[in-house]
Amino acid sequence: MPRRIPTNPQFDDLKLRDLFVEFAGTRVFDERGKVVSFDLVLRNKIVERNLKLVSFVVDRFYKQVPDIKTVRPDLIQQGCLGLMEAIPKFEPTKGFKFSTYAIFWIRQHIRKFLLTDKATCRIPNNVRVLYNKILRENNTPEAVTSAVDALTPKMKKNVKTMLESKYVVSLSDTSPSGSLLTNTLTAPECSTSAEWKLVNHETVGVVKEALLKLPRRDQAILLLRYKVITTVEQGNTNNEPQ
Amino acid sequence: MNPSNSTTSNYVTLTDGCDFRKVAKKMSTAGWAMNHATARNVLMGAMAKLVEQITLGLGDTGFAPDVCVLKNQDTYDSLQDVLQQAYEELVREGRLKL
Repeated sequence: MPRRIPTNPQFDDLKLRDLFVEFAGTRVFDERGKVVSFDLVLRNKIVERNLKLVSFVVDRFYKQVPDIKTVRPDLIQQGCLGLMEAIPKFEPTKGFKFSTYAIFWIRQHIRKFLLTDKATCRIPNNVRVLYNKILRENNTPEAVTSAVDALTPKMKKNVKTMLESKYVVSLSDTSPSGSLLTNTLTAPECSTSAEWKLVNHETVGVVKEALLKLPRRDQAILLLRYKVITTVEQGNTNNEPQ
Repeated sequence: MNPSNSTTSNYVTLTDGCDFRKVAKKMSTAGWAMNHATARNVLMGAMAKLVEQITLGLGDTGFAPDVCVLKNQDTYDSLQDVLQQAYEELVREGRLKL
């Protein structure tokens, strides 16, 4: 069971809004409008009052993270950092609830942690953003390829590697018969379509004979499933194998 | 548990295939009354028979298609083009009509 974060009873008498108004008065801005310094004690009070928000966000949005039981404390820690970043930037005079604003920062920190520190292979942020943009804007593989070709050589290499990694096949399959079957049925990478047709002629013959040995119902389902045919004629008679 | 992370599932996803509910509906219209589960079970049986016949035809004797092969996504994907070609040739020769 995850440990519940206890609330501190000494802050219960103070309203959160009053705390924020008090805290807002202690902030010092530079000429660009950035917060330079603030009251740390008040900031920590607000953080303690809102710790439950972090665990709520983790449980609400990151339930599907692999191995969540072990990662949860890390996510809560990152969420707390996001919460600490949100507090000085929050404007209580605008009339919105603090949780509305803070959830954005909490989620941002958790997402950043999952993508950079927790990922198996770290991918730079600019490459990931570009990769997602290309996939979002181009629907067909040809359009994706042409969009990737238009990039600078370095980015092209990075994005191409990401695209290729989508199709990595697991090496855990050790079945020799399965490999033979797959290798025989799949077209070799370097061959042209004409060469493949010649090599494939024998294989197609074998598949034809195998297909004919199946009952008609099995043939129909198999071909429907593979979208080789779209309709089946009325033809279930009592003589047909069921 | 997320179904996509399941390692014990006996079924694989066909990237460009027709789903089992549609298959069952078409088969029911054609006279073989069935639901999606039956369609899936029949397909698994048909796949096993087909793979066995193909491996025998390729000269690999003594091979019994196990779950490992039937679970293999590559086996399903690799059959796509060959099945299409085989069906077209069979229809052209007049040996198969569905």
